[in-house]
Order: sequence, then structure tokens, then C-alpha cells
Amino acid sequence: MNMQKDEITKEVAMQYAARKAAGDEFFLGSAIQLYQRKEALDDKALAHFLGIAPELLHRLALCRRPYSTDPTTFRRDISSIATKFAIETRQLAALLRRAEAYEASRSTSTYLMAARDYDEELPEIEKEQEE
Amino acid sequence: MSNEADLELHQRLLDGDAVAPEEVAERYLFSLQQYLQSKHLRVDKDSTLDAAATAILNYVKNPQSYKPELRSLFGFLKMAAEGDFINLLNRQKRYNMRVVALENVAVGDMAGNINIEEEFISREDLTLRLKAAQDLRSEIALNEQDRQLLALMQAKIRTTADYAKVLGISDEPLEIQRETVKRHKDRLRLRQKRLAQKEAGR
Repeated sequence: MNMQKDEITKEVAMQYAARKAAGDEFFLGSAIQLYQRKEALDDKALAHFLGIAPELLHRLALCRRPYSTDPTTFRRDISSIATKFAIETRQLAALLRRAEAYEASRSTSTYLMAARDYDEELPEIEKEQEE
Repeated sequence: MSNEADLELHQRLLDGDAVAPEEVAERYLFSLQQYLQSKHLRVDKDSTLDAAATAILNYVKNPQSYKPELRSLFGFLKMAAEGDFINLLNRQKRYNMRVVALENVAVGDMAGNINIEEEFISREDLTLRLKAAQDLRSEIALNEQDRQLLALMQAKIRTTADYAKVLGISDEPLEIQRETVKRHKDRLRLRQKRLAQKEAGR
């Protein structure tokens, strides 16, 4: 965020907003960031995967994120995003589904970790209750 | 942009149009940042950009917060951005005041104790006390990089890229960036915790 020495241009502003949006599941940027991280892709590789110029990634990130839980809106949203940015619909859908799968596995592993912690704490809890 | 075009864009947001949020940012983010910057000339540009981005992102997530019958969309965004901007400044101000207060407590206590006990404590004791105060001051004092990292943490920014930029490791692989950022954040959290404990123990 430290841009004191640099002049803020429209591009810089959009990039900043995109980075901020990446932390919010409302925005497509959250799925992009997760996919990028899990697949270890830099911007160039991700842009290549989607078939767009890397400069467009931050604008893409500011779109509303489609979720596959509602197939009708999922298709509609993907179609409108793909049309606007001239992306392959199939690639965008693949990215979103993969991101959802990563999130689901993360939730499962969090649950398992919590369960494991509970199992580890159980003898201590029982001991305290006996005392 | 005409009022009609604003209304049309607003309606698309209400309808859940997936590309409308990007169009709002594309149209208004930069103008909003420029507006804040022109109004608050002495404030750093990062803060104005953060406030402008926050206002835009909040609006596109909750478009129903805008009432077209009351004002123009840009007027609404300016008002929202001003609010976010003031909140951000207040957070920074509270944080800075806390750091300065801690520094003053350390130095103030030291000076007071020396004056009162000057005749009673040996030179060796005095040296030890001075060193303890110096250690505390150096622990409290933050370098510019740490100040920026803390500001990001306080603003609840979570993206690694922002921290990596401050740390000058943007060109490193993402995994390295993530590990380094985590290490620095953990270090600062520990430092804050220690300071809070010291403060409580005084």
C-alpha cells in the first residue's frame, strides 16, 4: 500500500481496489487469488490460462463472484463476465469450480483439525472433571 | 456521467449483475480518490485511496444503501468515502497516540525517578536503570517499515501483496512472500503483546 513516492494513476487505484477485493468472498478476486495460490500461478500464467491480457486481471477481480450453488445465475454471470472480458467461458467456470473445491477442502480440514484438537484436549478435560 | 446512466448502473447492481461492480470502480474510483486528495492536501495518498476503495467496495456490496432520490451517485460515494476516510484517520491517530504515550511513560518515569532518588542510588544502579529504559524505548520505537506494516494490520488488509510491497519482496515467489509476511506479522503481534503486558505491569 505504500505508494507515497508514486503518483496514483487510475490503473494503480484499480489494482489497489482489486487487491482489497481479493480478501472478500463477494468478489471474483477472492476465487482468483485462491486459485492462483493453490496452482502456484503468477499473473502472466493465470492470464494465459484465461486467455486475457495480464492487465485485465485486476478489473476481472472486481466483478461479483458467481457461485455454482445456483446453476442458473452461475451460467448467466459467467456468460456476462466472459463476454465483457472476452474470456473462455469454460476456463472461467473451471477456475471458479476449482476455487470452490479448495474452499470446501479447507473447511473440511479446519473441521478435522478442530476435531483433532478436541480429541487431544479430551483427556485433559476428563482429568479436570474427575478432580 | 449522466444521472440516467448512474441510475441504470445502480439498478444493475441491485439486480445482481456480475460485471456492474467493476464498472462502478472503473467509473468512480479514481475520481473519488482525486476528490479526497484535493480536499485533504496534507494527507498521504495511500489513505485517500484506501478510503475511496472502501467506499466503492461497500457500495457495490450493498447498493441498497444508496437512495437515488436524495443525491447523485457520485455525491453519495463522496459522502461515504469521507466517512471511511475519517474512520481511517481516527484509527491511525489512536494508534499513534498510544505509541507516543508509551514512549513518554518510559522516558517520563525514568527522569522522575532519577531526580528523586539521585542522592540515594549508586552510579551502577543508575546505569542499569538507564539501560532498562533504553531497552524499553527501543522496543517501543518502530522503524518506518514496521509502522507501515502495523498500519496495514490495523486497516485489516489481508493481502500478502500489500505487505510484500512494504517489505520490498514483491519479486519473490508467492510462498516466500507469504512466509516472510507471516513472520513479520507474528513478530509485530508478539511485540504488541509484550508492550501491553509491560504497560499492564507498570
